[in-house]
Amino acid sequence: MNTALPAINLYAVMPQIVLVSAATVVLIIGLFERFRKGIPYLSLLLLAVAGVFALNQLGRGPIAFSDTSPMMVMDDFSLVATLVFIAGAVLTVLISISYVEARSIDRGEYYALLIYAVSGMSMMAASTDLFTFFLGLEVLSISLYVLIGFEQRDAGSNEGALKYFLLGAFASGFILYGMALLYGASGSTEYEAIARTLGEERSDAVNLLLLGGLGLLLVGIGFKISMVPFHAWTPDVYQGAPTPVAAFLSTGSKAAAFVVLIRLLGSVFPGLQMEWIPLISVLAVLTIGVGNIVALVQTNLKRLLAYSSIAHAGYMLLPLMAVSPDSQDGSASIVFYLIVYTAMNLGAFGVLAVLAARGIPCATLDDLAGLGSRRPLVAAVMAVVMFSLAGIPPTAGFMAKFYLFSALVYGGYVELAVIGLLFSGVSLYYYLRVVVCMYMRPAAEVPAEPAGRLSYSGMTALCLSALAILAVGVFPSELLQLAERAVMTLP
Amino acid sequence: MIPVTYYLVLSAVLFLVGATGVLIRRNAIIVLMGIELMLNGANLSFVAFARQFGMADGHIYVFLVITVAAAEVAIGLALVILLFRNRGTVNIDEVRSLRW
Repeated sequence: MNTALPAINLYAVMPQIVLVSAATVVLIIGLFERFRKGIPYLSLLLLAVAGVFALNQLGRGPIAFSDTSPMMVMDDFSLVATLVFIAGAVLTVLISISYVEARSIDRGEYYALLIYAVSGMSMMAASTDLFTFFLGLEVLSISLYVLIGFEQRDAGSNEGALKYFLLGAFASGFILYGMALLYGASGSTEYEAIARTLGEERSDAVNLLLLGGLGLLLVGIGFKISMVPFHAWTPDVYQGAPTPVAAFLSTGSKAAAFVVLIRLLGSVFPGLQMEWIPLISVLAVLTIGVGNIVALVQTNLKRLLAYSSIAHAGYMLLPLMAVSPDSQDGSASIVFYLIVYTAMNLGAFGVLAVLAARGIPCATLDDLAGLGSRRPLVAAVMAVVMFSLAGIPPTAGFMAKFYLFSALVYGGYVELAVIGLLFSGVSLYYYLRVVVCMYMRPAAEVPAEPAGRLSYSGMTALCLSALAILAVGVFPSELLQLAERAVMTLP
Repeated sequence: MIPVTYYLVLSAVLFLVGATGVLIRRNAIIVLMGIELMLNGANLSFVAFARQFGMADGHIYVFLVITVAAAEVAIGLALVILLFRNRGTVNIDEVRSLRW
């Protein structure tokens, strides 16, 4: 037996090392009561350091963790994904500051867990082995279980955390069993080895293991991206979780799962395309349909956003089918959509978090009546975000949908693009209803509204996301190039 | 020597018993036990395959999974305790204040 240690290149996992160290520093300093006020700013600083590092590495070509068994790789794809996660976390920290203070849950662990979650997501994006993917997923999930239940005395937060925990752990079980089957089929959990097994002649038994393994993996990842029929937890968890955590959950953790899905379906399992394309197309259409139709009857804003996020997951599943070895347009359009979606959803949940932090009621649609005159700036941000989610030009949401559906059409899936566009038209109703509520409905009997300025940090985050949405909507080419460059390194 | 198929069948049975437990039992702690059974079913397949291939990586994965499962259970039990303190029940059917 060969006992020599393989040569490893620690530099390849530097983004993850920086993030984990940042989280640990925040965790330790958060223990000291007197630094409590500074913790969020320290977190922002450390996230910025990690972001600058990742930005610096862009375009330097892939660096593998080890030549013999790669496990993790630092390529443009993982770096762009990491940058998106970090940007999402920065916005989440900004909208959290006033919210957690108002709820008196402003403890250091909150920010530490947020950064640990980002490190888990970054690990998932960089993984080239099912096992590192699984570990990243668990680092992410375990941090999220705690974050969702962070309002210990709040029954809703409690319930949301338990639901997400039980279903998340259930999904992990599926992923792990699927991994065991794939390991049995190919003798390794590396993506490359699995792709190699798929390329060879294989016996019926091996074929069965591969199919079963892929199926179980898809069930597990389906839970994480809230794909129908595994979406039932989404509205309950988003409603129960602290609002900034719901924002993070709906963007970051979903984006991380999609990034893995692009790698898995795009470069590991093209050999089984005949089997998974029909399955994914049916599930994607169902996801879009259920998300959009149930969102029509929602009056609770967080639940409305939850169903809207289910629908958006459905849109993002569609171009996976258009991905083939000679065209990465589908993957590029998903990466672009993910970036835009992160800005949009953080903006939408951010509005709710910033209002809730000042005690302004914003749970239901009726609470928003007259917001346009009461809080013009926040209402304007919400309007931009809603237009963008609905896909109306000149917002980024329009560009994202445009690239996504055109990739689908070029891939030869015109019917799917038509179905997606039709449901996207349906979604106009509930997005615009929010805008109508804010501007057209008079604030009937507004209860004595708590006076006072909304928090500066929260408003900064909101303005940043609204500006980003408008800027990308008008000048999309830079960001599109970034997305295209990211997927170019994929095999 | 016992053929590897036997282990695989046993691991599939463990996984299914665990999954069924999660789906039909309503006590949060028993659901948690079902999840543990599922993870251990997967572990057994990892070990069985590793033995068949004569490679050590499957065994190492099992250690990692045991660690992850321990972390998960620690969080899970803490959540169940919080739930019991707030509501006085661990029955997940009674925990349904969030509905549309």
